[in-house]
Amino acid sequence: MAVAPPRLACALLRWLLPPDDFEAISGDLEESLDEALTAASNRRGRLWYWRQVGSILISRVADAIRDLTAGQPKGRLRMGFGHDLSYAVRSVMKARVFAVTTILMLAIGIGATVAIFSLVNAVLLKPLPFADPDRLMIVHLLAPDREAPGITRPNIWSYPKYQTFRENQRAFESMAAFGAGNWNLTGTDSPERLSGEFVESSYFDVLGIRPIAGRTFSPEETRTPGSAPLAVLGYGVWSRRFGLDPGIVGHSVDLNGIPHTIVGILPRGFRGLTGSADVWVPLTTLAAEDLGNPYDHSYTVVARRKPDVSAIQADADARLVGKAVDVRYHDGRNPGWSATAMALDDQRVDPIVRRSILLLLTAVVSVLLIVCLNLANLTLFKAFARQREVAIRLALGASRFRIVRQQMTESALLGATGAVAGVAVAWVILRIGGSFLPDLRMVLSGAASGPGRATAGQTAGLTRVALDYVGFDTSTLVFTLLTGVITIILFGLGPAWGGSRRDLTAAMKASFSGATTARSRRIGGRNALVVAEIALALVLLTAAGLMLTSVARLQSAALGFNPDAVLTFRVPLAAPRYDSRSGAQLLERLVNGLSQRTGVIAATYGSCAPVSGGCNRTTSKRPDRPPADGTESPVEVLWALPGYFDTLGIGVIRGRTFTDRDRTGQPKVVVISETAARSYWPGEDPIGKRVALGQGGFGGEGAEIIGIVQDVRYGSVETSVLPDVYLPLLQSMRSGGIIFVKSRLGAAALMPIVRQEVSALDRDVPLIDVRMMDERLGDATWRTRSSAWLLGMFAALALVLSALGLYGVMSQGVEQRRRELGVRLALGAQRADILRLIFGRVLTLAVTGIALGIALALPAMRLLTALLYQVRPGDPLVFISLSLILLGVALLAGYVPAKRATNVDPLTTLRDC
Amino acid sequence: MAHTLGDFEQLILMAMLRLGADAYGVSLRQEIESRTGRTVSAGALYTALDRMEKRGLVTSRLGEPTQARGGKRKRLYTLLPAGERALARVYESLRLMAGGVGARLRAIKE
Repeated sequence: MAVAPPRLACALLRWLLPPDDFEAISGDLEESLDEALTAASNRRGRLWYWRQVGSILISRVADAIRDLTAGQPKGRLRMGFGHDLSYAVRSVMKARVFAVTTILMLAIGIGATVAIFSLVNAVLLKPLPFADPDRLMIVHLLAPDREAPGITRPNIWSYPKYQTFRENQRAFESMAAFGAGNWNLTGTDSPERLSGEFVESSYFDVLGIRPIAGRTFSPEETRTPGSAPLAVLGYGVWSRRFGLDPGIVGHSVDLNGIPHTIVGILPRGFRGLTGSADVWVPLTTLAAEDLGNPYDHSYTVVARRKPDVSAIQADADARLVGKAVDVRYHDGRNPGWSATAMALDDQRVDPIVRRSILLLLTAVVSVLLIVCLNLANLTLFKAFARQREVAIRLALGASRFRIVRQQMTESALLGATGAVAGVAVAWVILRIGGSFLPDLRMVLSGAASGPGRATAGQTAGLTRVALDYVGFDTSTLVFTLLTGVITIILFGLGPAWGGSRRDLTAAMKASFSGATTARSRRIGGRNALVVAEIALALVLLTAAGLMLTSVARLQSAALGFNPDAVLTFRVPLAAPRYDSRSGAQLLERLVNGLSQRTGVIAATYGSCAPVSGGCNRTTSKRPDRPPADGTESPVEVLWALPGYFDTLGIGVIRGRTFTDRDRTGQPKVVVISETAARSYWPGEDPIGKRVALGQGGFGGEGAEIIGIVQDVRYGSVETSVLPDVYLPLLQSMRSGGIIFVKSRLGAAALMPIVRQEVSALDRDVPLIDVRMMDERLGDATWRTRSSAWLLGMFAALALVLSALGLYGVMSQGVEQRRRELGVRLALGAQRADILRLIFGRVLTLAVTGIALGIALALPAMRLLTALLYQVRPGDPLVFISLSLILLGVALLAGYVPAKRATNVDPLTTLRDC
Repeated sequence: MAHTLGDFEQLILMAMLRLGADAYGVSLRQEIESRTGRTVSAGALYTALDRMEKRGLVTSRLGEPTQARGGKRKRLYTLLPAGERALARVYESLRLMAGGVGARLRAIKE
């Protein structure tokens, strides 16, 4: 297919038409789309499709109206509309308070819904900004799980395995391997750290990205490993560092100290599949021994499937060819590798992010529903007040349709104004939200690169790619339109229909006397609305309550370290200037230098920051165990300098931590965490025992355990801790990691000192990732906190709205029963009896609503499980306390009308009629 | 018959007469657009076809799936005798009324 039909339009069509019609008509549209628009652009094709769907929608609606009005003479119908509109405007102007309330409520409800929808649209619905994105797929290796036979997990590729795959596959027309990389841009005044990608030359063609200046890499230039250093720059770095000078093409820049020739510039907005790339370098600039290692799995593969191959066929082909790869690079210990192809679109969002966004959308739609219920109530009350007028008009021969149409015109007028105001509200929300939460991207990507990292490979940045597109577009506007129309139908049609019942005598009588069946039926309908509102409010309240409980538990969670007054940063020490040995030496000198400065309490090094999404993982063995028992156990490994545990306030439980004497040449030592001690040496003292590790040169005989420290949450606050093993940096050199500086000076005063120390050692090394430790902690809990607060706001809104609804129904009920109450009082009823009567009604409504709400919420809350921290979805405390709060608010809302009822003066009420 | 044929309905029935067994959404639209030069909205076309089917002028069935349209089946339309008669009647009255004034009609420029 040349152009893919827009998904939302297609979904709209599917919703609009019966299945057979949908198949035939959407088939027709797709066929025409192909023929007419092969040459035209994607955008115009989408526009054309939307226009067709729009015309079908309009015709259907017009047709339905024509059916409804089949009995009406044509001329009168047309004339009637203008009349209705002017009547509606007059009636709205007369009841200004009602109109303003309605429009305000709608604006808030629709505004919030549209704002959340535009987030959903950008992150989940909108096609990715690449050419023909439907045909793009991510191809992963499938690695068998060693611990669970028969289970395979997606895995990224080694270059030789990928080459074998590419030569044997037939499902894809083009494919490209890529990997994330980081480069120090040096040789200029201020060194800068750039994120980028190692890519094959086909990468840009696969995605359909054309350079805006120069060219991309050619296949000839990138044929063999160790090819010439070339670079393509992103628009951002081009404008930031080179002032948009097109003459830069052909010149060279220093990346990690090596001059790279710039061959081209990419268009604005393109940041690669990692979502944060500024520079692209050929994959083949890597050394042959790295690239040629068939067991170095480092690269993600993106592929474009042939037009006549379906996604399912492509996956089948990938699985077949994957077997061939397994045969060629057989892994004796872990046989049965394969490959799989997944739509790029399905990889774009981390499931947790998807779930919290959909949760917010559900919540905001519920609020809108409550708004509609409330407005239906208000409209019903108005219809009731107008009952006599309507009855007279019906008696004079007006058709029911005519009456309904007139009242709907009024609702539509209010609804349309509310929707327009709602768009304005949504715009404001998005603007404020955008400036208020500048690190939204980072947080989302942080979430996406958490537990699912191995699966998501290097496409986790797709969430970020999509977030650049939050805003208004056709889909958002169509959504707003639909929301408006549905809202109008919800709050307008029911009351208008009910209010125009052809029960003339009853209606006429009702308006003159007192209680009749017609009225009680209407009251019944309004009671049902209130019960529904209360039930919905309870569902929202429990969702918010559970999320807020999670937040409270998160904040009091034992972190295992003290984040106060600690500045953190990285100094990227890149090869070839630094190897692990010289890097580690520089890090030690830097830490010692910083510790000497006044104002600095302590400085240290650690390979990995707490709450950063996890650290290196490897396997461990206990060499003193017999081989049968010596199965490999997974552990998290960290490297540290001696002051690490003191500086971060990590408590020592037993034994000692590292000292300056634990250096190369001395006996190898490690420190383990409580969880490691408990899991692998249960019931015995691990101190003095030996452990061998799969990383850091601590294999073989391993190292002696010298101490046990508290658990630290290195992954995230929400996830449970892993068994940790700490290695002394001075015995196992490496050049990457984080410097921690504890100081009473603020970040502003501390930064110049840090800069001075770093440039004294190497003036070409930039400082990156500079943040206070408590900021890191805040970012790590941001997602849960923000969804909890948003939910809390929606729930509070729901609570207030449903209380208002109950108040409205009760006070109107009292108003209508004035005469009856007066009679009761005159006949000797006590005021307490009246209070009990009215209050009993309030209690019945509230309790019914709450019971219904609990019945709805109990199964619904199970969907939240993945988002909750240390609270069960059915937590009785949350349910009971929120039910009581809701009951309290409901009783409060019912108290005022009940009190008013006891003040009825029997004399005046009897005289009034 | 209570209903007469609308202007657009006449065009559709005429197009069906021309297309025979291959009358479906896309071909009907192309036939009308290419012969008359007027743009046909998808909504109007499908609604008119629906109405005429309800009135017993045409009938439709789903055809075989084809590769070109994403494997989706076509809805193929056939003229029913009532439709043919209605079209013939319209054409006949138009032909009778136009007798002798054809040259003048063709001379009128829009």
